Amino acid sequence: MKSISHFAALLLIASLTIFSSCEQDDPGTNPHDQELITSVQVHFADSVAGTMQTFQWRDLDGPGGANPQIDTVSLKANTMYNLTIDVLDETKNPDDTITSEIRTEALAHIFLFKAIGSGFSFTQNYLDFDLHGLPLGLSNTFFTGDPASGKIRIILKHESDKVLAETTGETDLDVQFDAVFK
Amino acid sequence: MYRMHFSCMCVCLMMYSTHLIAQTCQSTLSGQVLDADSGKPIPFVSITVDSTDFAAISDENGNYMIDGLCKRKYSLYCSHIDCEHLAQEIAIEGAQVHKDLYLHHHQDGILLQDLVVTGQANRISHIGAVAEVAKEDLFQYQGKSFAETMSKIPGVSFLKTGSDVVKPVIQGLHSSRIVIITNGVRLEGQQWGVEHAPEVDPFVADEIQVIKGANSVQYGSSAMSGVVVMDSKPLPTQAGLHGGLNLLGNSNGRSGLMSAYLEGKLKGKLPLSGRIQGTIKRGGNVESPDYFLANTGHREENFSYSIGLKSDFPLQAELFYSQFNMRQGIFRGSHIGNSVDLKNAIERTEPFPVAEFSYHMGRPYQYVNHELFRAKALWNISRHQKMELVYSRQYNKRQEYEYHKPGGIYKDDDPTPQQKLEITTHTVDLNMSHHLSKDISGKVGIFGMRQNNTVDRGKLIPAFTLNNGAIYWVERWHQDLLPLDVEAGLRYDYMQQEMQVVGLDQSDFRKYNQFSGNLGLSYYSSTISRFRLNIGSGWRAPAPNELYANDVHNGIGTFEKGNPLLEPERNLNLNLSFTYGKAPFDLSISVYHNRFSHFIYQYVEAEPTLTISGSFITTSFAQANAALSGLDAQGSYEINQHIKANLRTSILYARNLEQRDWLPLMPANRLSGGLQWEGKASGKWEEPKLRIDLVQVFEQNHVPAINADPLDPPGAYLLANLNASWGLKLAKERSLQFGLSLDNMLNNRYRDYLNRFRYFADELGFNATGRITFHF
Repeated sequence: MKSISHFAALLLIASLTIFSSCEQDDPGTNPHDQELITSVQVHFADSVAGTMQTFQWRDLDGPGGANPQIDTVSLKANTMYNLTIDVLDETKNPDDTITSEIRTEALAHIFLFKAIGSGFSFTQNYLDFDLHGLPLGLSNTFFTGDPASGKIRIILKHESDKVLAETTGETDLDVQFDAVFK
Repeated sequence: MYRMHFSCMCVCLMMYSTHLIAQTCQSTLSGQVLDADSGKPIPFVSITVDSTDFAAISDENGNYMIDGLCKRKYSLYCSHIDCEHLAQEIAIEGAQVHKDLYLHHHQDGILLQDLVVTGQANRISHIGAVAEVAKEDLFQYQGKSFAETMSKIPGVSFLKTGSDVVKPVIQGLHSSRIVIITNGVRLEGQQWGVEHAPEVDPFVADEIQVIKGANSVQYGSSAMSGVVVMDSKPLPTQAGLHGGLNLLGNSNGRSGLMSAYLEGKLKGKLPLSGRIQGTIKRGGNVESPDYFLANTGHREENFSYSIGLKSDFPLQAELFYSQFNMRQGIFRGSHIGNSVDLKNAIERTEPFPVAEFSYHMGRPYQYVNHELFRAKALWNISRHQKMELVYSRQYNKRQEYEYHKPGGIYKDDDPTPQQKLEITTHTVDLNMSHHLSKDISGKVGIFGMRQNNTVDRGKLIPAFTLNNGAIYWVERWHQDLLPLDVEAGLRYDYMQQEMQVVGLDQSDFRKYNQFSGNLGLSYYSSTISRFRLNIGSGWRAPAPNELYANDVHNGIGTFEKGNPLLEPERNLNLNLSFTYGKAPFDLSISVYHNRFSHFIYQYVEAEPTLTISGSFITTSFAQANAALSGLDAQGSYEINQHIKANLRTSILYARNLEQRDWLPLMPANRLSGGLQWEGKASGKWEEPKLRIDLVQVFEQNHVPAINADPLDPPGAYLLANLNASWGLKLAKERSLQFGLSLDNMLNNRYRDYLNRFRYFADELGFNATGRITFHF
């Protein structure tokens, strides 16, 4: 008697092994479905001469891997241009335009422009602004300085204090173009 | 009062006298040998009388009797597998002397016993240094993380990412270099990252032990400096229904916790017992002395059950199931873009964004689910042989929800995680405990594991499958009356791992063949002092992130690259410890030297990586010979019946021998001291207890010369902590316990080198914890 009831208890315990809830691995979806910025396109429009030049900073495989491909910016010295920027994710088909997302969230974004190199300079002014009247930077005027070569650095900041933009917020873009003003 | 670790003490009273008093020798000494915790009689305990031939063994009811004794004082040796040659004195004054002997015995000694009394039987008794978190400390640390609970043990510190993601560090090593065992099963989750806290509910633990030294023989690969063994209370052996309720609140974070359990054993013939247990925890933003840390809330829901069938029937069975579900907000000020952002964050006096208190948890956060199921069957073949079969299944799902995406942010209620990893592990262990002879007992076993890791989202680590098979054998030589114990063990592991790496056409297939061994010695130099030596070897296969990381590590602004050429690490760990216990002093010192070949470490590459969001310091992994040496010591002095003073210290030197430089991310040396006061029980009220501790953590000066670290280690700091508790005995074995803890009483501003958030914010300020526990 005793051993039968013990055996029944063992059987009960054994059956519970089956009924314990088991979470299963989900079937894999796409592990590469990551949002990424791969390309920055800068468009310089010379309204007087009627020309448009585009230069790209591209890193198609994302951080690491192959080196980024960076165009050299070549512009006329002492000339006024209209500078517009496009930000893309070229791993998606069709290309994901991050530009429109940035524009939608203008309150949280600001572009900063810096000249690097002795004798190399330019003057940039914002043409677009967010709802609070603070600058965005997808559209700018860009007046090139004296003939020289150096680097143009473009930074996109997210959720920064727009007045103290450089030291606050997270950096979404920080690219440098070799540039020459002739 | 302070208990000797790993000891069983027969409590007897008076002084041994060398003068033989000539009397007629017809006195009888009798009594019962009882378990000090449960009061149950313990059979088959061998009792011998020093310098005589007198001996007795307690019978099935724990009764023993020795007659023909003279009226004088004798020294009794209570000789039992886990009774450690401590002589006790007794004076025989009359014709009949009655003395009950109480043993505080430990679960890990049970395996080598001839019979199972209570508790787990799947661990091998350890000669090496074992430190346990005392039960009263477990109570005082309830509500803290699992890792913080163990930090009372010298040599154990913790590595933090914020306040709720805490990992234990033993002798300087952590993550995949230590093993955590919960209820006899290795914890298998994602442990390779510093922000991966062990998925363990501390309330499931009734006993937490840290076994220091390499213990790969018993516990498998990667137990290189220590093993944390966590066990639930054994299932009840008496019929009836019991349970408990814990309520706890913290002022910092305004968090509340409730944990309850119910356990019972059927009345009647069927010896079935069981327990169910659950914990719920909720907390909001925590604060440092000057500001709140945004989005640092915490939510946890855990549940476990356990069923056992145990009787004189030679076959016993037990099931255990637990679920752990945790949602942890990640401090918003810790997610930065590139290295320049990190530098800006470091230079700020207050973290950005500024926060208020809130229970709301938004992105970024992590969500972890962990399921553990264990089935065990035990067959008492004979008095000297026992066979055990343990099967376990673990499932771990880790999802990380980011805040920031390129060009924008993810909405709080967006249900899609940016990282999703699932790892499922099955293990089987079949072992047999035996006695080769009267003095030699041991265990032989085979172990198998199959693990499958899928990566649903993200590319932190590759998907992989892993198979591991092992054979192990441990023997222990122990002779009654000789103060020497020797233990030796050997293990062979075969492991194969297949990884699917993004960008590689074929999978990466690796095989490992490794032997590990250990040798332990325990020697009583006197009845109050003991030496222990443990020499053990261990090994560890490189972790998937060490092989194949290839991404920006958000939060520290570095780009991490893996190294597919890494080979397994091997180590030899020498641990020597000395304990001394003679009232009013109590002392325990252990020194260790842990020597590694192929130690995997991170180094900074000469060229940073240029990405679209800026330039990132780049790190990669290399291997070198390394040595970690240190000392852990603790001592106490009983000032009087009520007050005890204690002192504790931990020192560590961790060197990269080939680079002739220090190893990074090692815990700083520390010194702590305190006073404990225990009052008198009165009526239904138990002894009130009060404890004050001062903890001094020194600055970590020993860091590598060329460092990826953009911030120097923080300075030294001092913390003052207080713990008070008082219990009340109620009718029918019920009890109520009240506890109060004050942490960082001085509200000090400080940062700890092992907390990744030290770049962004100070550590927690003052915290008061109130606890009520009810048992019935």
